[in-house]
Amino acid sequence: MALHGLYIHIPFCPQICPYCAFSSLRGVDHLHERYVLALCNELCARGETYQRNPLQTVFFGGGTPTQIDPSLIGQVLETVDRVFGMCSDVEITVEANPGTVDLEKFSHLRSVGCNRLSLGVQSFDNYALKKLGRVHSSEEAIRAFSSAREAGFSNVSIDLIFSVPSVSEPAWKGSVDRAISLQPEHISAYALTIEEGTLFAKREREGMLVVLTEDDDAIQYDWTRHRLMSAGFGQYEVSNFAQDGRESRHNLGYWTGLEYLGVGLSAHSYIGGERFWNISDIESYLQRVEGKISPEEGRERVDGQTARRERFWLGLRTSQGVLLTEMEQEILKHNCRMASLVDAEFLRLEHDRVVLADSGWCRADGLAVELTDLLEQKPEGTPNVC
Amino acid sequence: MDPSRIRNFSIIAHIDHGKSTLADRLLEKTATLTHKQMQEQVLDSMDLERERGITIKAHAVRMNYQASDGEIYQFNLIDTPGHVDFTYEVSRSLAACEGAVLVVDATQGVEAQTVSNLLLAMNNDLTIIPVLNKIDMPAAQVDSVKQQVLDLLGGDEDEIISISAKAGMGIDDVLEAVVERIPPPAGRRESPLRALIFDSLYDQYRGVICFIRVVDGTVRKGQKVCFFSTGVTYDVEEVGTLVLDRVATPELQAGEVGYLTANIKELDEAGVGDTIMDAGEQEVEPLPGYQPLKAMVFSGIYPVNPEDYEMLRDALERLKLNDAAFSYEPETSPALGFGFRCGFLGLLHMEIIQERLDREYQVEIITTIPNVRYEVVKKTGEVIEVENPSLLPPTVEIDQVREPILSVQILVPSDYIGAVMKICNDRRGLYLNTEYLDGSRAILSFELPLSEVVIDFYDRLKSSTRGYASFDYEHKEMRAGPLAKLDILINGEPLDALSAIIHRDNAQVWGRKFCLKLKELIPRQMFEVIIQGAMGNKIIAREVVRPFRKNVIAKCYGGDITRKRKLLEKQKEGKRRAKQFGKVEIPQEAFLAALKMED
Ligand SMILES: Nc1nc2c(ncn2[C@@H]2O[C@H](COP(=O)(O)OP(=O)(O)OP(=O)(O)O)[C@@H](O)[C@H]2O)c(=O)[nH]1
Ligand SMILES: C[S@@+](CC[C@H](N)C(=O)[O-])C[C@H]1O[C@@H](n2cnc3c(N)ncnc32)[C@H](O)[C@@H]1O
Ligand code: SF4
Ligand SMILES: [Mg+2]
Repeated sequence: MALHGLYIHIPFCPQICPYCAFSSLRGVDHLHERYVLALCNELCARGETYQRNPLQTVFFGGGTPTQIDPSLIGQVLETVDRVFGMCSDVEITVEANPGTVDLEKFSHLRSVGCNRLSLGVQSFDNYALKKLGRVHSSEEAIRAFSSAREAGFSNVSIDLIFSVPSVSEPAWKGSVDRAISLQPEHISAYALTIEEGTLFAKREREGMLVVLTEDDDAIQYDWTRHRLMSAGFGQYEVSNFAQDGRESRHNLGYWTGLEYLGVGLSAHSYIGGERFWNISDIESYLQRVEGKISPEEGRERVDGQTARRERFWLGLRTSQGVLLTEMEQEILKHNCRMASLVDAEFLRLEHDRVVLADSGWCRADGLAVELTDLLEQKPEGTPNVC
Repeated sequence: MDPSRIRNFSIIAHIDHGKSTLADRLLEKTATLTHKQMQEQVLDSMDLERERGITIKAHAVRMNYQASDGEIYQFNLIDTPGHVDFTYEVSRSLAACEGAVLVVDATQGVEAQTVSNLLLAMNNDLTIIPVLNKIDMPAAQVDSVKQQVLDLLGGDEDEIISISAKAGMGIDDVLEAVVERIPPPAGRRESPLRALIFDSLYDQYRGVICFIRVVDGTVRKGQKVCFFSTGVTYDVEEVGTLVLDRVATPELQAGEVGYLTANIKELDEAGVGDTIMDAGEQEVEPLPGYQPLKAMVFSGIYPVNPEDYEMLRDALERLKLNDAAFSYEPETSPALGFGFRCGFLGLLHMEIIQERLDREYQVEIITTIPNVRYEVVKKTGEVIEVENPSLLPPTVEIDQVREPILSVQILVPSDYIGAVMKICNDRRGLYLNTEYLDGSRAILSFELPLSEVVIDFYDRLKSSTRGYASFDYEHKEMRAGPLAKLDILINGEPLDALSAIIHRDNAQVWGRKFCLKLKELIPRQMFEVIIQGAMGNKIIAREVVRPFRKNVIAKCYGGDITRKRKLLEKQKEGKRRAKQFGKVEIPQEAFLAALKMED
């Protein structure tokens, strides 16, 4: 298999958001250049190990890639091009925080080759933005969006977070409508997840933050899905919606088992049936790469049962669902547990695929577990009749 | 060996009083084992024994001891278990001995199995050597525990030997006392052979290995012998003594303890308690033998995966080979499919068998809540035995249901008498009397339904008396009572394996608590689980396990798939021991819910 995508982690942020568990640092702007140099070195080193073939996608994620000077992004892209090369229709995405950008920066990013923007708006409601501890206002986000357009970004995505405690349902709905009215090509709508080690997790433990009930969370999610779909955004993944043909090719690669290389702090890769990941401490990362030592922290082989489970757990997240082997098709066709999942409109069997039905999206993980579980049972099944 | 220099004895005590540790010291002092072979509680050789730190099987071992009189004596020692479930191991062992070392933990004092095992020994006319153990511990109450022992045994204070088995104090005194106080075996070598099988074991290569005590005569390799109860004759293949392993010897003579193999293929052919005699000998009186063991507790064992049925059957068969106390027969459950109804001596015995199935045979099993055997008198006059609550006939056909009643003795410091009374009262106990052992300790006697004892009685008793109470029981009779069946419905369908037979007066409260516990134990899933308790057609309790409404993570961090997979693997692991029931799944724990209910 050929390397499909490249993920480049930029771990710098203007501030650390209280919900965020991504590898991100604040107040270390003096490290930008040193870090980018390390990235380039890591890329060169990886280039020697892995087959060099033109990449389909490059993704600058974070952290906040727009925290560093666009010329540094350009420097990385030059290295990428030298080491791997890029296809003529390569998708190069940059994640951007609306509080760190202006027209000039966007233009600069365009000029170094970036052609897709993922704007971390989170909400168009100022109260929600405050709750989420964001540095920017709704107005700044709207300005950032139009600057991006003005700079020539014709492929822009907006990130939104729903199920934020104490944010009213009308406020959330208004936020979604506002996003739609801007006519981006792509919208990601994430349910707020309380991540271990974040300020939100601490506040929740202390009883200071009361998360939404599962029911309310599900209601917001399903409302959002339906609203976005009726506005012409097709749902192609649990949290991702796009206008026709504007799906993120990079992210789709994660769900469909394509190979990707990740470089930078705590970046993850999947190549040749193995997953591996880098260390997440900045000093050690820099020192290792500078000392020509691999910054890899761990590695695991994904095969046999694990590979099959991943195929289901990841594939089921997408609108294409999971491609089934003939044997799997046979089992699912005659299994009574499967029949009840279909009856409940959780799943659908379509020729050689199993896909989420409308009520299945909000239960995708549970359903993936069900599916792998029933496929792993020996064929005779249970003595219960359907 | 001259019989006058043979001493056969058991070590008996309440659980954990230090029998196996004392056995270690005796083996050490007599240099029976090399330093390298020695380890703590060396006779507890089964994995489970070592892990749990308790003895499960009695274990015989021979040692040679040079006494202070200069003579060499042959000791045949049997270390016995202390747990009440394994009392039968003690009684078997005692029948092969002339004496018993009664160990009493000086920090605990006399406890229930101290009393019951002592009584067993006295019934066998054994010489008792009382030993006070653990005197190294600061909590040891040497004087008052000595007094307790004297109250129990009578006799003289100097007859009690104070030791620390762990620290190796006083061990010589024990060895000397065995020589001096325990009489040599009384058998006649010239008489025809009579040997008692006190235990047996199945060996893949040798067939059944009989552990025997030769009472009269001699048994040697090649001899033709006959087993009294079956009348079958065999050629003796090997006889020998039990050191840590088996050591073949030319013969075993009257008074000696050892083993015998004769290519016996089935454990039943060499029943424990049977008498081995010379083939063709007509006149010999068989030895008294033992009461046959009767299972007290029953439970269903089913494979999680129906296709493991054969594997489970083979595993049970093999377990049975080494555990005559365990019994099983096939049964079918509409909910659980094909499985077995198994009989055990008690809960610990049940737990151990279940664990061995899981560990040694790697069969994933579902076990159902333990229950007792009921006797049902039908209106037609017919009497049937019911070992599975779901098989209780319809109420209209029943004249009477009888359940096993135990007579129970609870030994407890007087301060806790109130607490014990309360527990027994809550458990339908009938108080009989209190007997004070001394000012501070008493034995309370009750009659209690076995079904009430089976479920966490022991734990409750221990926890409400700070661990001080100990108890002993024996079967008394079958007694009629107002018993009825509680059915559990899952999404409207009865789940037979959850049925229970309970007292009518408690039905309402018990049924509600049971359903609540099930709700706690059944995890949320894709579909709703409605749990109902029903007596006949009447629903007396209802609980609902709500289904997942949202179960999907929003984002995989920058391609960190490993983390997502681990989360889902955890979810999946939870399903490992669950049984599909219609659209929903019932986990193994739910089948044991009744064991986990608080009063
Ligand atoms: N301090 C101290 N501890 C002891 C002594 N004798 C035994 N023990 C400890 O008491 C515990 C139980 O000892 P065992 O020898 O296994 O008791 P047991 O009577 O064989 O137990 P069961 O066979 O299960 O009935 C172990 O932790 C021993 O180490 C002693 O003399 N002093
Ligand atoms: C790595 S962030 C990069 C975007 C940029 N740093 C910013 O914050 O504007 C990618 C997106 O993940 C989402 N996200 C991060 N933490 C989240 C959480 N705990 N729950 C839900 N979504 C989260 C946010 O929508 C965020 O825009
Ligand atoms: S959400 Fe974005 S800006 Fe906030 S800490 Fe995370 S990566 Fe940085
Ligand atoms: Mg022991």
